[in-house]
Amino acid sequence: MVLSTEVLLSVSRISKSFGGAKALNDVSVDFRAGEVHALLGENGAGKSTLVKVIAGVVTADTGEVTFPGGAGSSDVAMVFQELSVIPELSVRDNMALSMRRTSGLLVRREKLQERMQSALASAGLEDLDLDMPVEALPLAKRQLLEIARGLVADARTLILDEPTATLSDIEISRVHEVVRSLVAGGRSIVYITHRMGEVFRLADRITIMRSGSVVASGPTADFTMDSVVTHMLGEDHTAGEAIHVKEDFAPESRRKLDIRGLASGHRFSDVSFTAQAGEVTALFGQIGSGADDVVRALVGLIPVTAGDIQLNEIQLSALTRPKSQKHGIAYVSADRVLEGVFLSGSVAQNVSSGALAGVSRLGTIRAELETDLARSIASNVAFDPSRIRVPVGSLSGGNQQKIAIGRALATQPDVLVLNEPTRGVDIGARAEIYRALRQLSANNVIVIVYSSDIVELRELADRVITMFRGRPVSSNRTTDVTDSQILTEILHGAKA
Amino acid sequence: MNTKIAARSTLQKPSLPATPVAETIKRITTDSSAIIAVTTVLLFILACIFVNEFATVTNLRALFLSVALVGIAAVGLSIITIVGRLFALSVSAMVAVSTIVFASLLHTGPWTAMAAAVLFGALAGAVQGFFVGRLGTDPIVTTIAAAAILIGFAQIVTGGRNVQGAGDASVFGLTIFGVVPVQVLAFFVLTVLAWWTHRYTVLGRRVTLVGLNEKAALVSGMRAWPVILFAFIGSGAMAGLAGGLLSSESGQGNLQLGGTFGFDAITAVVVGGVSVKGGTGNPVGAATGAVLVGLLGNALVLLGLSYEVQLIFKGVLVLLAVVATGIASNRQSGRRR
Repeated sequence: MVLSTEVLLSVSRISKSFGGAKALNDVSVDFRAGEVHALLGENGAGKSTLVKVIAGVVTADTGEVTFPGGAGSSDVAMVFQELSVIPELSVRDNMALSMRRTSGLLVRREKLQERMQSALASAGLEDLDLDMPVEALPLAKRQLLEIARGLVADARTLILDEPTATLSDIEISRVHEVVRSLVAGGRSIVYITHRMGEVFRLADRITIMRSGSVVASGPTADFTMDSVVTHMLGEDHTAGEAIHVKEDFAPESRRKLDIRGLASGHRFSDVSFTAQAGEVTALFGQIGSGADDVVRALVGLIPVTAGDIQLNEIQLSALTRPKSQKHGIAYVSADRVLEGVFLSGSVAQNVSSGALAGVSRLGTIRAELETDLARSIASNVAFDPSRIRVPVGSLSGGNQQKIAIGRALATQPDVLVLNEPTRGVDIGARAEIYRALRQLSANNVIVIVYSSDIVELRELADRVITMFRGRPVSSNRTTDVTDSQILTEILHGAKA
Repeated sequence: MNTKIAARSTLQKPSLPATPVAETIKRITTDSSAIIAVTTVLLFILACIFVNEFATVTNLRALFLSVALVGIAAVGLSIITIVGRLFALSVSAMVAVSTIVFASLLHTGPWTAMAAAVLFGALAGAVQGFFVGRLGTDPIVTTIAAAAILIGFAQIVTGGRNVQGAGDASVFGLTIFGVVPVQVLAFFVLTVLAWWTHRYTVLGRRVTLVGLNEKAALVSGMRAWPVILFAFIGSGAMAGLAGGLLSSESGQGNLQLGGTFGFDAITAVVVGGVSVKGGTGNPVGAATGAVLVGLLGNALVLLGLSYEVQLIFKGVLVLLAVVATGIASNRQSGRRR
């Protein structure tokens, strides 16, 4: 592959702080025409801040963004990770919203139409009816429409922030085709993603960020999957090593959850596995694979339409969330803000929320019992026990997640089910959460996790069940499978 | 965004072991019900100094008497607001119909008549609570509909006429120790009871948690609908009580009675720092809000201002309260706009 040399956009020595925290520290990167430039890094590494600086949404403290080709910041368009199209409006109206440069008061309809159609065609949406409401489009087309919105603004540099995060395989390849054709036309694409596979398939150049700094940058050929992960996590990070905690219960009392032929409508079917205390079981699959629906069904948030769930040989049926909680199945949601915690409530109130019976006598809450519970749970999840009166909304993402987990722990569950347990959590808090979960598992709690993060899988899980299009592919001990086998299974379904 | 929050929390750390005074000030500025209590006391002092004939026993008794019934309805309504279901717009209707229930049954004795009024309110609240909680209907629309149905039925039954109670309701007109009217005592006792329930009982905590975040409550296995049902029953019972007491003043039941209760109760709840987003604020705030609004009205009357001007003042007060509550709750949860 011939690498282009024309620099479209140059970022030099940019620093940016929010409050006391440095989000960007002396960052310099060049983005060239005709290239897909992957921007990688853990959550909180500074990718989003960087692209916001490039797009002019955030002003840098020091450093500058220059356009050697003579363009300006209006030649940069951003395609957000959360879809920003307005579902109720038509395709035409949504496109019109992003056309910033119109002269005069009136818009000439034919000319507008022409521009829209050419933008849609470049985004691979040539057949789209302009008057169709966006909500009638499938997710992948909406994502492409997002890209078309960037194109209609006539931008030469397009920033795509996780454009494939919510898409299935075929849809992803569609987005990839479009991206390739765009760079072939001389555009520069900044591509943020967490999917390792697509980086190596798509990117010409890779820049890796960690804690606000660029730690590696160069042509894709200079990297391997392993070296990218090492750069992202840091040298001192021991990736792929699950910590081992000695089991602290009699083997005959080991708790077991048997799942046989579980199905939920069209979401998933034929899911069978046994999870037991002492090991962490992970369901692993892309978004849309049904793996996350399995954990939601286990805790009674979506209905089970077929199959058996047995906890310690006891049949559980017609699960609703309150009912599964009664059986000792606690849940930690993937959506921390919407479902995980009570943001305005104090840490203590959050922790006791699922265990009110335990901290009350005759229907009256005992403050000292609540405080004791909050303190002991706080120390279990490595949260500072002196801060239990603080509202959870004022804590960092990592600490909020610890409280979300603490809330589940306070119910003294037999089974703890977690959905994306460390999404948006920094590496330090992540390690503490993993340690707490492993400790729990060693204390005879069955821990089941849904994750879409392979690094997490490596560090947390003992057993992995891969899923593809609503069906399980394989079940293995994590020590027996390679990353590429796991990725192949969740991307293509076939056993390698 | 995460980095922003993290940065704020590290900045706040040094201020944690601050002086008790600074702590108290911080607590008051982040707690909307404390803001309202301080405002009420200040206004009271100002009125004592600047408004002639304000600080007389007669006027103060009249003030509390006028506040007590609206206060009871407001404390009840606050439960619905705290559980995150905005307002019941049926408060006026429930109060009005309760006056009829009380007057019609007064011949069986004042206590049974009062019990019937309370029971009626609880039942009417239960039905609305079932719709809003179990069927998930919109609280505003549901309670508007309920108000129409209640008033309609009551019109048919009474023929739109005054119902004269055949009995003696003077037991509710007593003045305890010669200074505290029964109605004021009832307002005070219920406020304390509601405060205690909200602050110390599992039920009260459930109301708060469902109000804060219903989905998070469900994640830990808590059902929202029984809690919502409770809120409507409690609120309805208090509206029923307010209606019964209102009727006992004249021994009459009339659908025109209690017409302003709905708006006044909402004003009190909002002014009292109960967030319409649910979960924050407490019944004492609503009670204080009722006193504050009554106090303002009373002072304005004594200053010789017209009803129209009072109305404008009330509206402005509500707006100010909403702004203040919004700022306080944002500060409390560490969010910024």
